[in-house]
Amino acid sequence: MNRLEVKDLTVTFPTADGLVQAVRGVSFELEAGKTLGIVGESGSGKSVTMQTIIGLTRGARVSGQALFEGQDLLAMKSDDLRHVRGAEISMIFQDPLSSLHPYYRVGWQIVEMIRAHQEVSARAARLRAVELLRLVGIPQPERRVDDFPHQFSGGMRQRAMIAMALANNPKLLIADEPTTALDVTVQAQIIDLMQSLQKELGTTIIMVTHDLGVVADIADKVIVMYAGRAVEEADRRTLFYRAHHPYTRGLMGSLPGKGGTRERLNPIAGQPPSLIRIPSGCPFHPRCPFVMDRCLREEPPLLDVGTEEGHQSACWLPPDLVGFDRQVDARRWTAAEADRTGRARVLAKGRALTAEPAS
Amino acid sequence: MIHAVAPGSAPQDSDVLVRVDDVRKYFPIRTGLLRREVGRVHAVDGVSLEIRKGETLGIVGETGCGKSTLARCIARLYDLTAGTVVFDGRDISRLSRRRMRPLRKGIQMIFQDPIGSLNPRRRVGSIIGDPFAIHGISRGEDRKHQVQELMRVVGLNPEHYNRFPAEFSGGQRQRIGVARALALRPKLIIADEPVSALDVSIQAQILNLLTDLQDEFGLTYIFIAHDLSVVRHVSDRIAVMYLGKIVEVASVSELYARPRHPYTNALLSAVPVPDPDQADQRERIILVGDVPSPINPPSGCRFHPRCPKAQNLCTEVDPPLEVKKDDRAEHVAACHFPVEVGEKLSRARAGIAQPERQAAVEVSHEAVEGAIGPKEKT
Ligand SMILES: Nc1ncnc2c1ncn2[C@@H]1O[C@H](COP(=O)(O)OP(=O)(O)OP(=O)(O)O)[C@@H](O)[C@H]1O
Ligand SMILES: Nc1ncnc2c1ncn2[C@@H]1O[C@H](COP(=O)(O)OP(=O)(O)O)[C@@H](O)[C@H]1O
Ligand code: SF4
Ligand code: SF4
Ligand SMILES: [Mg+2]
Ligand SMILES: [Mg+2]
Repeated sequence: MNRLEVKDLTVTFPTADGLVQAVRGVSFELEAGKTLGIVGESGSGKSVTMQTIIGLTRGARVSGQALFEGQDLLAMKSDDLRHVRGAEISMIFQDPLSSLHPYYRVGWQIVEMIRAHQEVSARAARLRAVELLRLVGIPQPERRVDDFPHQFSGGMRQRAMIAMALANNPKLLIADEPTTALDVTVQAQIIDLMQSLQKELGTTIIMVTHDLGVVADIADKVIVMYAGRAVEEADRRTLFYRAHHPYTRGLMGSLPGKGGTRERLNPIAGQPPSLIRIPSGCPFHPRCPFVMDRCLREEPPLLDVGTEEGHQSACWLPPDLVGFDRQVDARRWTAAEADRTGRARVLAKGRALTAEPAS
Repeated sequence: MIHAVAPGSAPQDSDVLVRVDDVRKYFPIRTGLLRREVGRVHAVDGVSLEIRKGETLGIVGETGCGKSTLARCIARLYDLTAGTVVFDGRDISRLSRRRMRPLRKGIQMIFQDPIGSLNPRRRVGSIIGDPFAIHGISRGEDRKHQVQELMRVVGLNPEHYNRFPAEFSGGQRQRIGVARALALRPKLIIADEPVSALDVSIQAQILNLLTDLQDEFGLTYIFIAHDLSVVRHVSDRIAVMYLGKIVEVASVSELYARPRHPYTNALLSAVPVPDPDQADQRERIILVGDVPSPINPPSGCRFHPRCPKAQNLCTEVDPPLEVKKDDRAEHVAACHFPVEVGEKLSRARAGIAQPERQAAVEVSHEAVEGAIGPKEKT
C-alpha cells in the first residue's frame, strides 16, 4: 500500500502583488520504506508542497488531497493533525534553529516531544533522549543532553533536530534541504544516518533538495518541480540517464565536474519565472531551447514517456525522445544562450576595458 | 611553491603573483568588564602558498577552517598576526592603510552574498561606479560610459543603470559584484564562495562568466568554495585547509587521482556525485565527530582526533607540508602516514580518542559564544 498519496495539490497565496500560485496541481504516490527526492530551483514550490501536506502553511488557499495511509491530512481537524505530525510524520528543516527552541535545553525539548505523544515517565523519556543523541552521533550524549542549542555546532544542531524528528519513530520523515547548510563531511554523516535508520525502521523518506548529487545517492524515485508543477517524474536511474524534459536536462548540463576542468558549462538561460505571472502555455518556454509554437499556447500535462514504468514528463516533445546527449543538448543550449543574452559580446576580443590598468 | 619543495622545481619569481609565507591570524577572545584576553582563535595558523600569474587556485575546507580569514589577510583587509604577503613583487604585510590604498586596486574580492554588500537605496550604476569614485578615476558622463561598458561585459543590460539592487535576481546581483571587482582592472580576484547561494543553472552562468573574464583579461583567481565539484571545475590547483592550516596542495588532476592526506580523502569521498552508478559504487569515508575548536587546536597533527590513520607520533609532532614519496614536486601533503594509492579508508574509524582534550575545548567554546557573538560571515 502507498504510505502517501498526494492528489492534485494546489496552493495559492493571496498577496498585495497578486496571487502567488505556489503549487499548481501536484500529484504523486510513495510506497512505505522508500525515498522520494524532490528537486528544482528555489521558488519552484518544493517547500510549500511539503508544508501544506503537514498543515503548516499559513494564509494559503489549498485544494486537493494528501492521503497518509488512506486518511486525508488536508481534511483533518487541527488537533488530530497535530497528533499525526509528531507521532507518525515528522519534518526536518534546513535551519535547525527553526525547530529547536533557543531557550530550552536540547534534551528537554526531545523529552517533551516524546511525552507529548507517548505515555512514558520523564526518566524513561530522558534515557531515550540520550540514546537518540548517541544514535545521531553526538559525542558524550549524557553530558550534551543538557546543553542549549547555541552550545552545539551547526552540524550538531542538525543532528539534534534529526534526533527530535526521530523521537517517536515516525513512519514518514520529510526532510527539506536538511544538509544544504552543512559541510560535505557532515552531510555524508547525516545521509548515512538517515539511510541506516530507514533500513532499520522502514521509514519512508521525502528528501527535498536542490543538490542532484544527494538525489543520485539516495532517492528511489525523483520528482523535478518547475513553476509549481511536477514536470518530470522517474526512478533515479531513468531520470539521470534517460531524462525527457528539457528543464531536467538543463539542470544536468549546468552541473560542473563531469567534463574536463574549465570546460564550458551549459547553463539554462534566464531565470525561473515569478509565480504571480506564470508564462502562458509551458511555463518553461521562455528558457527552453526546444520551444515550439504549441508550447506558447498549451500547457503540457504530465504524461508517460520513454520505456520505463512510471516515467512521466510534462513536455510536448515526442515521448520517445529520452536520454541526454550532452553534445546535441550543449549545442542547443549554447545557441539559445547566445541568442538570448548576447553573451557572444563578452568574448569579443581586442576591446579595452574601461579603467586604466592599475599601475 | 611551498617551502618544502626542492629549490629546482620552484616556479620563477616572475611567474608568481602572490607569495604567502607563514601567515598567521589570531583573533583575541575577551571577556568581562576589563575585556581581558582569555584566549585566541587560531583562524589561520602558519600558511605558506604561492599563487602564479594567470592561474586559479582553489581553496577548500570545512566551515570555520580559515578560508575567508586567509583571503582577507592576502587582500590585507586584516592586519597579519605574523608572516608575510608579497604581492606582485612587493611586501605588503606591514603596509599602513594609506600606503596600501594604491595597491588595493590590484586585489579585488567577490563575496558570497552580493546583497549584503549592496546598499539597497543606491542605484546599481552608482554602486558599480564606486571604485572609480574612490580612486578618483573619471567622472560624469565618462564614468557612466565606463560603468555601462562593465555592465555589458558581465552580461547585465546597460539600460538597467538606474535600477535598485532589489530589482535584480540573485544571479544578476552576483554579476553586479563581479562588475565592481573588475572595474579597476585588478590583477588578482579573490572570490569567496561566489556561487554558493545560487541555483545550479545560475551558478553555471556565473562560472562561465568568470572563466571568460579570466581568459580575456588574464586574471589570477583565488577561488574559495565548499562545493568541491565547483572548485574542481574552475581551478588549476587546489589547496585543502583544515583548522587554520593547509594540509595538501596539488594540481586538480593529481589531487583527485592521488589524494595523500586522509582528510583530503574523506572530503573527496563525501562529495555527492550526480550519477547513480558512480554513487552506488563509491565508498564514503564517514568521519567521526566535528571539527575541533580553533581556540585550542589539538596537539601534533590537528586532524588526529578524527583521523582513521592516526598513530602516537601524530599526537606529538605536527607534520610538515612536504612532497611525499613518488609524488610530483608540486604535490605536497602534511601527514606522517600518507594514504597510499589503492588504500581504503572507508571502513576505518578514528584511531585515537581524546576525551580530556574534548572537555577543554567545550569550555573555551562557551567562552567564545559569549565573547564574540555571532560569527561574521564573509
Ligand atoms: N572577527 C573574528 N573574531 C573572532 N573570530 C573570528 C573572526 N573571524 C573569524 N573568526 C574565527 O576564525 C575561524 C576561521 O573563520 P573563517 O571565516 O576564516 O572560516 P571559513 O573557512 O571562511 O568558513 P566558512 O566556510 O564558514 O566561510 C573560525 O573559527 C571563526 O569563528
Ligand atoms: N507565505 C507565503 N506567502 C506568499 N508567497 C509564498 C509564501 N510561502 C511561499 N511563497 C511563495 O511560493 C513559491 C514557492 O516557494 P517554496 O515552496 O518555498 O519554494 P522552494 O521550491 O524553494 O522550496 C515562492 O514563489 C514563494 O515566494
Ligand atoms: S513543452 Fe515546449 S517549451 Fe515546454 S519544455 Fe517541452 S519543448 Fe520546451
Ligand atoms: S599525521 Fe597522522 S593524524 Fe595527521 S593526517 Fe596523517 S596519519 Fe592522520
Ligand atoms: Mg525551500
Ligand atoms: Mg568563509
